[in-house]
Amino acid sequence: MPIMNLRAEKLSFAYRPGTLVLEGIDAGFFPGTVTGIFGPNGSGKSTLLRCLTGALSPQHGTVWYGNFRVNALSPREVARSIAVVPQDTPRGIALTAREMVALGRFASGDENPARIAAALSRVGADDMADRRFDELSGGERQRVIIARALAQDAPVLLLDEPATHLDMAHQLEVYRLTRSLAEEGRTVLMTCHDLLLAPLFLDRAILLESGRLAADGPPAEVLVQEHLGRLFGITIEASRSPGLSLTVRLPFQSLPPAAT
Amino acid sequence: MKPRALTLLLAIALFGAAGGTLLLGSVRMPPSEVLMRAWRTMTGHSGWDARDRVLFEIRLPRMVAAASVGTILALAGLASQTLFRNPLATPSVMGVSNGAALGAVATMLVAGARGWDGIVVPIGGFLGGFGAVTVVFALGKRGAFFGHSLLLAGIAIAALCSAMTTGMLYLAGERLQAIVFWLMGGLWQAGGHMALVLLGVALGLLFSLLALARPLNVLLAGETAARDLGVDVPHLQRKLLLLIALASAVAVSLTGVIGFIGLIVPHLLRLVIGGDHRRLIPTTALGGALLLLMADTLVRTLAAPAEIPVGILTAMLGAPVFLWLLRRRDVSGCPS
Repeated sequence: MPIMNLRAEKLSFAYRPGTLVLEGIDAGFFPGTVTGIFGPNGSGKSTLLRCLTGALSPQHGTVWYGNFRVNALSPREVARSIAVVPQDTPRGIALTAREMVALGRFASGDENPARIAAALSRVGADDMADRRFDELSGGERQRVIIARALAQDAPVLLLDEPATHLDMAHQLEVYRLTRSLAEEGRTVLMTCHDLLLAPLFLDRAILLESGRLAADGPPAEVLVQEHLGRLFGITIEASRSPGLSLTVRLPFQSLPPAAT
Repeated sequence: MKPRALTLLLAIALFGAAGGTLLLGSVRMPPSEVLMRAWRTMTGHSGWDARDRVLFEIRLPRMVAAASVGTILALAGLASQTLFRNPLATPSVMGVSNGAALGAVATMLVAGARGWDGIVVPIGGFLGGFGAVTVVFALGKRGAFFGHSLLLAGIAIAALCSAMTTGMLYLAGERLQAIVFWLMGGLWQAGGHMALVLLGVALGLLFSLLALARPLNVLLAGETAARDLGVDVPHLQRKLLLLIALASAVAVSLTGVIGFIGLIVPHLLRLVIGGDHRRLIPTTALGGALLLLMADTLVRTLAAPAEIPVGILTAMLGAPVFLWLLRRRDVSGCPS
């Protein structure tokens, strides 16, 4: 069994005393795997990612990176180990896409142009390298931010809803990218709402319900009516596409009737 | 325009403006005379006359002081804009200059005439400026104020400091006129020692910010992202607060409140060469020096032998730019 390089141990976190956003999360993450974190809005997905990077300090429990407590590491040490793609892409930055990606090399201290170019190329953003970050579309900005995280060359990659601003082709590209990064030996975690495409690329799915771990296992066992129906409050049916390994999860009963 | 070409252009323009400052004034001196007097002084010739005194004891220190203060104000503006992630944030807009002025005036009243050219007034200015920048920053950090609100908070701090300064003027007695003239901002009292102090502070600020250029770039991505990318954000913010307060205090204590240099220069240069601090810091230093040198030469010569406080001219240039920016930009974001 591979060694876990990121582990949350009895993790509890509250922004305000008495209101726990995360409660007793126990989970370890392995190199070479892609884990999806699912849950309704406000279930604590992004907060869990922030705790895993040490940006938020849990009231109880510990986050371990190897044998080190993440909160005891300096920001530079964390950045060399864990790269983050945040949910919101910033606006109004007077840098080019290439300069934005170069920020990912800050922790390593070397601004190797070849690595920056390779990161841009990996997300298909070579042609936008010299355009101002400000002037890119939401999806283009998201790809540049992913390239910035790749430029960090960290063994762990955390992505907070990485496909939100992307069209379907680029969503597929990002999911394929997470898969190939895992095959290179990285630990990949992403929060997502996409129950259609994302599960195809996951090794494991985690469900959060009001800050607690509601289910954890292979996507085919976790993303099922029993859990999803309870969490989202609607009937989500899974229908297996004939001839494909694709499982379509949709709230069929809530959909409008087909136009005739 | 390429950054290197712009830097070279600014350096040549600064050299020309510095030369012009030595030639122009109520006593006109042709270039040949300036060169001849400089050569005589360097080769140790005797016969120091009144025109030498005008050149070396008035114009040269004033030229160095103007270029240095311009550099300090422009760099403090750039640092404020990155710290607050707001293109309209400058020490004068955020109330830091007014805080420094309050501290300096209070010290003048307590320290008396000796405070004018001593170290006491800059220390008072530093405490006032540091107090103001810390209050504004703390308001921003608590999340109660950001974007326009943070600017308004800065304006409120500036108004409060200004009201307290005005209140103190009632106690100024016979020093009232001198203090009021000082408050308008100007380089009329620039002497050799003052020019050297300002040059030292300008160079210190320039090299300190150059050393921070890479983390400043990362800070553009936002505090959370900067932390994720490896920057010790609170440590960097403390350094910036200290540098901004120190630079503003020295500039304000020695030359009064000269506004808007810190707004105009970084913003215009950012539009031309982008936001990379490794390029922006040197060009901002040169641009600030050039703008204040030209403004000071103008106020010295427009109504010579009388003099208009340079703060009036920079405010007249800066206020329309400020309004243009306010209209054009989404100031809730970071510098752009």
